[in-house]
Amino acid sequence: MNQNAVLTIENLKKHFPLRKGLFAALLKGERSHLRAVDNINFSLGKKEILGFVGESGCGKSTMSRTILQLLEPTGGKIYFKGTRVDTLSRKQFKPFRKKMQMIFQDPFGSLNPRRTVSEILRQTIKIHNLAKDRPAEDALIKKTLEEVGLNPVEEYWNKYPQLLSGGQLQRVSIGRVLVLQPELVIADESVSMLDVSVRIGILDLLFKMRDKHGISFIYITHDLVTARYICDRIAIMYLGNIVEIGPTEEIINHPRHPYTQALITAVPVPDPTAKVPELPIKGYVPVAPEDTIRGCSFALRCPYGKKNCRSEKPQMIRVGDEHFASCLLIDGSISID
Amino acid sequence: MAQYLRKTNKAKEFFQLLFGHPMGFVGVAIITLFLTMALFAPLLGTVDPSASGDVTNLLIPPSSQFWFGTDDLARDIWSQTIYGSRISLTIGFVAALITVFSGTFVGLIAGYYGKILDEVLMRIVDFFMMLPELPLMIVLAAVLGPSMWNIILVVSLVSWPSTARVVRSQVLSLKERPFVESSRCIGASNFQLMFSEILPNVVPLMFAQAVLMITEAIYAEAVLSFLGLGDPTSISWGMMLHSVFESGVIAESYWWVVPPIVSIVTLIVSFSLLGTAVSDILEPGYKEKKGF
Amino acid sequence: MALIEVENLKIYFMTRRGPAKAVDDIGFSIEKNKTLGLIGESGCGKTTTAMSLMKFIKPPGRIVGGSIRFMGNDIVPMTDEQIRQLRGKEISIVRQEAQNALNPVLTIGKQITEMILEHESVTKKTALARAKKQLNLVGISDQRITNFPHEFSGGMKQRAMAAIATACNPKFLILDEPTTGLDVVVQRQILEMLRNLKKELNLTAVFISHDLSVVAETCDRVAVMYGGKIMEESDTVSLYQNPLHPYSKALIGAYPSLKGERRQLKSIPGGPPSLIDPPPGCRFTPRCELAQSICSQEEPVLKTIDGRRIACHMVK
Repeated sequence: MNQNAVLTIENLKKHFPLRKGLFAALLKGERSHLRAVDNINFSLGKKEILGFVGESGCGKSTMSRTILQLLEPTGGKIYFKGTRVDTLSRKQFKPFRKKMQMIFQDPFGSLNPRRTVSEILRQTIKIHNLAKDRPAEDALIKKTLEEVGLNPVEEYWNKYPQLLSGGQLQRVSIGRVLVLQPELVIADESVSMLDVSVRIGILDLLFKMRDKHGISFIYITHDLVTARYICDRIAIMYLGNIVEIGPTEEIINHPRHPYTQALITAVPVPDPTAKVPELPIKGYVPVAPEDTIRGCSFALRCPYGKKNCRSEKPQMIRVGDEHFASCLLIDGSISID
Repeated sequence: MAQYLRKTNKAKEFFQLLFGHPMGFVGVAIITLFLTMALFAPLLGTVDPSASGDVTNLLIPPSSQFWFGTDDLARDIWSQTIYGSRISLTIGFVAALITVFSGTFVGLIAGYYGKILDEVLMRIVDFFMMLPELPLMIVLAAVLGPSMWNIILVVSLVSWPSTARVVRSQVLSLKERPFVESSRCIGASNFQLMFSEILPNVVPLMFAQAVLMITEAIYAEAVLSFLGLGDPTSISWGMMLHSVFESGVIAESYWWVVPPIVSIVTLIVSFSLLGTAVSDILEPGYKEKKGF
Repeated sequence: MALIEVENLKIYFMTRRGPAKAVDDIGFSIEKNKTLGLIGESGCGKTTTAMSLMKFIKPPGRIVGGSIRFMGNDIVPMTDEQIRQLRGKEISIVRQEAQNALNPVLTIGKQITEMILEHESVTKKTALARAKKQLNLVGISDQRITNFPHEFSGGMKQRAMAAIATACNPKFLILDEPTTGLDVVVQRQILEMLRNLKKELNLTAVFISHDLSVVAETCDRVAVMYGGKIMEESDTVSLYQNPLHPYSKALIGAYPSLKGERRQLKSIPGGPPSLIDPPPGCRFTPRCELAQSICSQEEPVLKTIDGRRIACHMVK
């Protein structure tokens, strides 16, 4: 385990038991599980921005909540700066809460509609005793609002969330997290619900937080394009597993896993003269948990699938500098041009 | 200072919206009327409502001396009507307060914690809801004896379960909202999440329930008093109806029957109108729709 | 004659503090079989404009001026009954997250046949056969005609909505952010389906989005809206390769892409203008890099340069 890493995840699993009919449970004797997060391994360095890209249902949001102990992991180990945190009690974990935070997806839903902007920040300050008296609280709120770009502060102080735009609301959410001075922030689809023209502003704010406060980020999204803009490394997730991970430009320009290649092909480009791509993979394919116990979870949709893809689970293979992919067919046989 | 100013501005805005709402306006107007009656009773040309008068003044129709006439004990019906508002309003407000607070508390805890606590509490609620309201109130009032506080107790006992249920439903859905999750992520405790985050969002529902409870309490008091289970020392509108019915002269003394009935119905309707208006106003987005 | 001709359209939302000028004197036309894209930030008026093409403006919004001609007939003065005849049959709409518009207790087949039977007098058998064809057209197997909405995935629900919307072969389709919020793979499939639909049914369409890449792929012409006004309108290729208006330039400059260099992008500072009290002169002035004093005094008029329209004092 890398001692310098801010976060190390080993074999993380989060399974949800599925209810089966009474007879099936009696006859089969076991319950089948939805393996939302299935054996995830990675480590996050200081001031690094690691992206997790995948379609909805791939487990990325479940993973983020499991890391932050909003859900209890079914298995695996979570280390924060060398200390194991998944085995801590709720009380023991509280000081770590300050250091590991999340920015949520829905700017309109993440803030209590009955609280003003300043009240929302004040509540956070009070919970962790970050200021000794009211003037100190006010000063901290003012500083935070300025830092997230909500200027002039007076204009936003007494506003209720209903009166703010999506971008402004996300800035408030970011301010709420910033006030705790975290070391790890998970941005879970934090710009997906914003206008495209507003996204860059928010992403630039995340850059600022990284540079000025030394925060490491896990950036979760289904949008490869913004991931490319902000991430140092990208991990591609599919049905609870990381199928490929590596430096951003490597992943974008030399993807090795068929799923990554398909994702990249599918993204539309802001260039009217570009050729419209053909999608190499099938669309939605309903997958029951039993289908993926053996073999590669992508086999049913993969355009290159061979017979043993259904019976043998692929391992992570090194395909480049810091670049890994898990596919049985890798060894120079597939590439994209 | 800024906080105070902001809060008064909010109050001003709320009342502006309330008066702009047609039902709200009518409701508030009528309630104000009754509140005035209750508060300024002695100044409104009244005498002691329970003081029986001269034998020559029995069952007099409305006249210049007795504005609403007299009853079969020569008591002034105008005074009875005016002072009766005190009883109805008191019982209404107090019973509603007790019901809403106890019901909300139970609903909040059951909805938030879920699992076993929820099951247990809801089975208790189910039990109470199973019992027929009116017969239960009658039996309890008969057993506990006639007094205003007993009536309040009886009404609260019978009404709190439905509030609990309704609050629990809303808490269940609020619990899943992103802002609760994000507060949990920030490190808020269960207590803070329940009372600081979820409860403020339940307040509109509490208001609506409170208004409903007021109308139910006023109605219940009227029924119980009419049946003779009310407090004989204080003449409420229900008591007036009880008396007129007992006296047997109901067909000939419209002036005795009409004031209490009209008062009860009007008061209940006005609270219903207020309830609808407040419900609408506290809905997020209403303000903007009205162009604020 | 163009299929859709809009002139001097004004749609205001009446609020206590005064009318919010959501759409303030805009005009454009859409030729047959062409797709016009409407792009801009949230609140710029693009959705309101799109909704107005079906006269779907609800109070406190009102069309206070201008004309919207569909095949030569102005729909603005039409009665509710008249416009109802057009909706679904001649003009139809596919909206964002349309899956919420699907009735959960009716099968997909029933919902499509209902649409057909509402507007055309055909037998149930014919309607059913057409419903099956519609499903195939949007890329769903016709065997799924007896499925309920909850048996479909998100992308399939969107496609089912498109099947219902085009069941009566409308001439004009309004697409209001049809791919927003969808995964990239599903989005790709929806775009493919839309292309197919357009070809098979000879559709004319208006495509609203804040996503420049999707618009680049699907639209023949694009109009850029800001603060209720059209800032620039041109054919797609020219707009993306050489945006003339400072706002268009900024929008395209704030747009990341997978291809090409990983470049530094600039977000547009400030926020959208108040619609009740818009800035005097050109509405983009407070956020514009090229702003001069004339920009805040006089509102620029749309000039035509080389078949492109642009409203800016600074562009000659």
